[in-house]
Amino acid sequence: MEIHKIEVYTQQKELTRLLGNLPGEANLVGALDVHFQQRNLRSGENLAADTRIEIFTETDPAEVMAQLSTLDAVFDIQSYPCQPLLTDVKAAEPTPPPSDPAVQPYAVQPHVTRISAPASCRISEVSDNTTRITAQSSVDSLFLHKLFHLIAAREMSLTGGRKYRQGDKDFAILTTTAPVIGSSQGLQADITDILENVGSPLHLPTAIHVACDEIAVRLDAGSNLPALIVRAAGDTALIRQSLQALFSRYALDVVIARFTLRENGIEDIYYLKQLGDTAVTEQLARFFEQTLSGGK
Amino acid sequence: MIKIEAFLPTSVQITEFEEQLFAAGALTVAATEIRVFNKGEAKTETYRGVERVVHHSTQTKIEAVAPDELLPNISNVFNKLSEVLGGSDFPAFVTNLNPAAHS
Repeated sequence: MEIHKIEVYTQQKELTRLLGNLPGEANLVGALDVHFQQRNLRSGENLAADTRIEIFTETDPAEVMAQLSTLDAVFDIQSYPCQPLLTDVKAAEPTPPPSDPAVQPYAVQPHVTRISAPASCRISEVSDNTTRITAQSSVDSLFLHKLFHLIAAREMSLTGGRKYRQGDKDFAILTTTAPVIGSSQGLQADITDILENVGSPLHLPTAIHVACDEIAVRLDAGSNLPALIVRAAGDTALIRQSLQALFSRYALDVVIARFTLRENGIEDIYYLKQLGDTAVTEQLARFFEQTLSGGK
Repeated sequence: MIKIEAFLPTSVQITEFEEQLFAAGALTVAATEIRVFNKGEAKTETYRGVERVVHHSTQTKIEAVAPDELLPNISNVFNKLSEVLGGSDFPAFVTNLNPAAHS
């Protein structure tokens, strides 16, 4: 669907008359204050407009411009083709950032969508700017990905916590800063809601961001489950979210995890279970390191 | 280059949102207050004891310019904001600034 943006320069006092003369149906009409001057080449007179009207419409722009340009109150008029962004949002798959290696050595694993299951979340204020999130759901390989996505969306910073699995349930106890966007109650409802859709990757970002100033990923293969120990500095929320996106992409299930904040970075440990073809190896650790650092 | 124009409720914290746009690769971000006229919609408000009918709502217009290939990343930021706003859509448009697009 093509839309046209038409900019009309006019005066505030003429606004009502001009809005009444708009032909066709407009998607959006807005007005903002500007300082606009134009010299009339014939009369030598200066014309001054103080308002710009912006019209976004699917109607033929030639028709709208022809009608509006006959009005005395219109000093200048311009038109540009554009498209609605929301269509793009639905259609577009996030582009891998330029740092993402061109050839990926591992096959991307498809997600398995399962049915909804009971989940719960409790958020309590520990102090003025410290919040504790306690969440549980049925076993879900996207459990942490969902939690970190919602935490990042509210611009909260995870200062510590752990994730563990008991029987057929996943649990997380996280200490974070208070939400910058929205309320704790809203977050609690959103977490419960997203965790109830077990395995569903709906609305989860798949983009891998290069948010690390420095990063070191170490493999610990000494225990029953192989573990990746991640030390990284930079945008901690984005690093953790991108790490979860990588785990999801390569079908790695985080069974146990511990999160620690160190100075300006993180020191996390993730015990991983292989669900697909990608094994947790030293080579994978290097690949994650390279992907998250943008090959620095 | 592309330009994204979005009309957001004034409740959105613009400073944080701008930072997210820059993190996603926007080169410039501008915010302006704009009166949006909704056809047929009007509300009554009282100003200094006098009731008056207002036909517009005040919103924040964001203009972000970014390289073409980063459109999906910028779209994600707007998508995320839409989720934070409870899934409500807001008008947003993309204009291609490349000269060839207008010829």
